[in-house]
Amino acid sequence: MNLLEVKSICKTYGSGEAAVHALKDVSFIVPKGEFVAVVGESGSGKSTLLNMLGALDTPTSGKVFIDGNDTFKMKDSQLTVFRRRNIGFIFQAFNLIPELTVEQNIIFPVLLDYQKPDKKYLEELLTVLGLKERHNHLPNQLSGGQQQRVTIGRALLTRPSLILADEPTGNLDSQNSSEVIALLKEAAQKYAQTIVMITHSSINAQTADRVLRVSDGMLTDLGRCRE
Amino acid sequence: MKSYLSLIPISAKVHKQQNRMTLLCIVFAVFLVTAVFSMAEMGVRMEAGRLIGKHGSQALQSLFSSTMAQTLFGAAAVLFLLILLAGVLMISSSMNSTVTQRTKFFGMMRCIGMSRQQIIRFVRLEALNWCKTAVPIGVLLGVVATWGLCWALRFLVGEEFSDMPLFGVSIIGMICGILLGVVTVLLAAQSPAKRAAIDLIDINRIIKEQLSESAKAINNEIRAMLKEQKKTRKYNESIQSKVVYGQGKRTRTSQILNDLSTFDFFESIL
Repeated sequence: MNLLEVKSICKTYGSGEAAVHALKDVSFIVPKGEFVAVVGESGSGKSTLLNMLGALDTPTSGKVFIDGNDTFKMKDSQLTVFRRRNIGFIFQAFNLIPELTVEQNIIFPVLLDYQKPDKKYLEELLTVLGLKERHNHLPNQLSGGQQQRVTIGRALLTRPSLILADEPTGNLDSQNSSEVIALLKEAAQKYAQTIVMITHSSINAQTADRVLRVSDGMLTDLGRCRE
Repeated sequence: MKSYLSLIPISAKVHKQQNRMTLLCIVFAVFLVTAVFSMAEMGVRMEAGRLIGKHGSQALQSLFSSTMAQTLFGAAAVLFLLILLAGVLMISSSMNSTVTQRTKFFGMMRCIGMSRQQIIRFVRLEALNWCKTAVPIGVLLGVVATWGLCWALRFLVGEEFSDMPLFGVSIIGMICGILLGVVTVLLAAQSPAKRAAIDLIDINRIIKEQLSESAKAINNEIRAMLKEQKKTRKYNESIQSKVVYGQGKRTRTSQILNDLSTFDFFESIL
């Protein structure tokens, strides 16, 4: 079963001579439960690609299917609901709500969906993420690594089938970054979640099941790292 | 935290400073309307009291006071509309500016999964939340101002105003004040709420802008540091060599940052 299916996506900014082709005919499929790393130089179109997958941007042509749903055919309101149930975002900037405590930040997306947070899973996540003692702290009382772990918790609590991470370790030191990646991987394996992660670091890319390379808007599948 | 709306009072506490202007606008509008209507009622009461004292006739009194009341309350109603208009414009523009300042926040909310409808509701309720403190303050000020005015009319102007009731509390004035506060805020929140409910595509643009802005800031910092380095190059050869022989772009910048921290880099920034 393919969770993510990308069909010949093109993205062009501007027109005529000034046209910039950010993505040129990109297609790939990701089976359920796979951990995919996307690598490439800055400006190669990685982030554009990830934004398309998360329906934060619309392609000039092409289609994206998540769990069999064509995301670009949905209306804005439908898409919002679909996104908050099925896609978890982890950004490079932590994007935490500064007024809320760690725990409140993590359960916020669940509250937006008018659901009750799963207390047991929340406890489990806090323990796994090593934030149990700090669940009542505000984001600015935490270190960068801890803040990033909070965003991971936030992305995981809704149990989305797809997790999109844009350089989740971009501003963390190497020890924190490998910890964060390991956590992400562990959680995803446990709950059969699919991860697409943009990364600059080759060490992080090596931990992935499969590596995709984007250069000048073209995508090449570098294949599996290890079996 | 039971619902996402619980964020409103929490963030209101933190952003007290930024919302002061809006709060002041609401207080002022409520105050004006309460004072105007209270004064109108006091005027009617005074007239009624005077007529009873003069003629003692109930029929004449009710006739006079009704025409008097009509003109006074008519004038007050016109003032009500004017204050409403001014209040809506003032509050709406000050809210617009706070919303624009928080574009990133709303974009983030949209990314987390807040729908457009939820954002509109959020901004509206946030505005109503200010009413909770602003309206009572406005009404209280209005009542106190009425007392002051009545006292001034009675003892400073005297003559026909000597019948002015001193510590009268006008229910109509208070109700009008509260009504105005709520109506103004709801009307005023309309456009900022729509502005806050950003399109998902726009979020992407905002994120990009922010990233490039922060990148610019970092670049500027690094440029400044490099300049600084050139000056001190003679004194510390090792830094220069690290910069030249650094492998990747990333490692190079991080090394510069690391080295500069030994260079009292923090002191230079602070």
